Amino acid sequence: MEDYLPVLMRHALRLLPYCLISCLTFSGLEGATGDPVGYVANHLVAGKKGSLAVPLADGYKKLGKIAVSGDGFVEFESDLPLDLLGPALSACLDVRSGPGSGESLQVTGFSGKRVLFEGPPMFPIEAGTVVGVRPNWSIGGLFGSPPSEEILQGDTYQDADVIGLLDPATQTTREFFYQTGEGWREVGHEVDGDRSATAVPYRSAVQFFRRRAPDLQYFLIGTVPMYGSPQQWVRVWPGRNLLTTPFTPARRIGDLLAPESLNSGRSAPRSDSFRIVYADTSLSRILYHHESRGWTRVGGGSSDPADTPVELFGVIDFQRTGDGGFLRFGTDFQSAGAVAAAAVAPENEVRIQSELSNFTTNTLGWQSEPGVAYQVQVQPVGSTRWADLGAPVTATGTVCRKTCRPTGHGIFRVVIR
Amino acid sequence: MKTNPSLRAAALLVLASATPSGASVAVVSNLEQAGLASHMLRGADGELLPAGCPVRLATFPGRSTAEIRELASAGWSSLLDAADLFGEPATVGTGTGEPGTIEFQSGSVLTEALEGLHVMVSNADGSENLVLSLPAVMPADDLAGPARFIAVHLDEAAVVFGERSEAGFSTAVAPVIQPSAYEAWILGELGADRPEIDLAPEGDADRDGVVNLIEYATGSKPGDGSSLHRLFLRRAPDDVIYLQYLRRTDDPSLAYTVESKANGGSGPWVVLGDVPLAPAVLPSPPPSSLEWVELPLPAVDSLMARLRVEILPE
Repeated sequence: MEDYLPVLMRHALRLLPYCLISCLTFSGLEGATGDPVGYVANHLVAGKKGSLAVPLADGYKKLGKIAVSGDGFVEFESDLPLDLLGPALSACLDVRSGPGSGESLQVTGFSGKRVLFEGPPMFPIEAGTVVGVRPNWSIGGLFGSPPSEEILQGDTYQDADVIGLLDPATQTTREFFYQTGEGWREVGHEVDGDRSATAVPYRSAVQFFRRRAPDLQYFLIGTVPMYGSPQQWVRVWPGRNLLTTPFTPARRIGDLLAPESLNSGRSAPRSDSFRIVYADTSLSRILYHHESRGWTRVGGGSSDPADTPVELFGVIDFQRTGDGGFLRFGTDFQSAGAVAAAAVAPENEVRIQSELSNFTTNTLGWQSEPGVAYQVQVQPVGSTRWADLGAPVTATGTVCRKTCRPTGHGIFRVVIR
Repeated sequence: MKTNPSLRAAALLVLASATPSGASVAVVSNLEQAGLASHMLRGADGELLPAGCPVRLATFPGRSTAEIRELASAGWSSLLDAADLFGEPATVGTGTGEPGTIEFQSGSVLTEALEGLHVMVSNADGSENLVLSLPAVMPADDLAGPARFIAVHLDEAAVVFGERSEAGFSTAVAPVIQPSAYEAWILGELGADRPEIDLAPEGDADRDGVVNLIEYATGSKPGDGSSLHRLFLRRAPDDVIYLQYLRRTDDPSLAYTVESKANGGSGPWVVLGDVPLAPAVLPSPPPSSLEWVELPLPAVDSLMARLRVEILPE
């Protein structure tokens, strides 16, 4: 095992998607929490302005087939929960089947069985399509309120870690910090009070300035949105968009981003252009897709721009020219040569339920039988093996919970011991 | 005191590697769009500028367009000296390898939004310049995240110095600034490696009490304290006293004036308006490019007289 781990680490980024696919095959899409629950540790460099990828999401409040669809709305077969929008009063609607599979749309309202969304969608949503609605993260939900000890608080933002949220629709950025003894505050609007419920829309990335040493390891638990689709459509607005890229087997930009979904001209200013923000806060050179030369790196260079590396879940600083639209990200694990392992769910596995979990406090929850012992296991990035995480817990009621904070990246499961 | 543009560009390239990754970035391009007018970069002769010609982004805080144009007409070095340079240097051909084209990115840390961005282009030897004004505003860096980048095409640019035609943008010839006669003389006498104060007209490089301009105007050596020019007096048979001095014959920009006032008096110096003439008797043979002249002084018992020399503005 000691010889094996280093190999796993070297191949970690490449292999995680296989694990997630495997998990998907036995989790299925039937339940409201069919996606696997994963964990990621982001490294934020002290003194640097970086971007925090937020690839994990809250669980679905509603998942099922659409009975009726129309212009800017869909209707489920049953009533929607009253807390559909979550604490941030903001949610997204994921299309999980049909031609638009992999597309996320912003929810603008709901009533009864009907959900309104910001249109138009890339593809019409037909009756019978499987659609899920999930609350967006809030600042407090993502970082805690108060946040975890590692995040620097301060009397003013000049003493604290600062996070930024870009609203691409208005091209405005709002910055926040945790004011000691008070709560999350917006820079420049401190007197306006608590901002912990501010939404962090899905697929956006969070700007993060780690004020001072030491570096920050930010740990996030959430569901891994797996659409079972070879592509994901991500909405962009004219101007700047900071995007968390979907999980993908792609390790180069040429495999990640579909040129057909980009505006391609004969120069960078006349094309969609972007750069990749890496975890260590370094930036790729600016790239675009030239209408005749293909992938092009501003300033040139000897290597093929299509080979520009991308991380397992990264951030793209994207500039849209012209009208808004959708970017298509390749998430085709099968055609990428990654045939999912024929994973078989053990008969003793218990599904982790997002509605019983508290991702903010890194707590997993599942339905239990009193007196039964349950074991939380993790499958780290790159590994095909499940490893016990801590000691088993014996349920005392019908719901069992455990707070987990493994290192690195991977996915969870719970089995009866 | 000009700097070789290529050397300067090389020095700045070294600095470029230290540019923070969080800097605000501008992308500038002139690559062609189908069916649109050309924005190629050309020399004053109409030929495409070859790859390697220097390109810089810069602002000129507090300077008007006319002042920037004047700087451009004074040469590439004047532009570089006056500009507040933005980001890393680039060259024609950056990103394309082809003459007449550019597509590069350049970044600097900004704490405030930046307006008035210009593109400066020069030909290979810095004798021709092009300055374009970009309408772009560089936003200030965000508090928390990576700084933004903007992308600007030269079809949005306005010409400050140079020409624009259907064939693209052309550099204009920066007039060659010839050193003045005084500058040529002082550099010839003392060399260019002397401190600027020693080379100035009001300087006194040899510390002999005679400023360089007087030494120049009267034919003595600015670097030799024993080389002094004297004013001579000549009494004519009619008892008129003449002041004699040497003056240059090869520099019409010099103005010589003889002034006098009462001996020991506190009154003002009075210009003697008579036109100096060639003396009937020369004190000594004049050196090359110099001539003796004399001027009659007022008929009084005693007075003080002095010779004043100025360089007239062009």
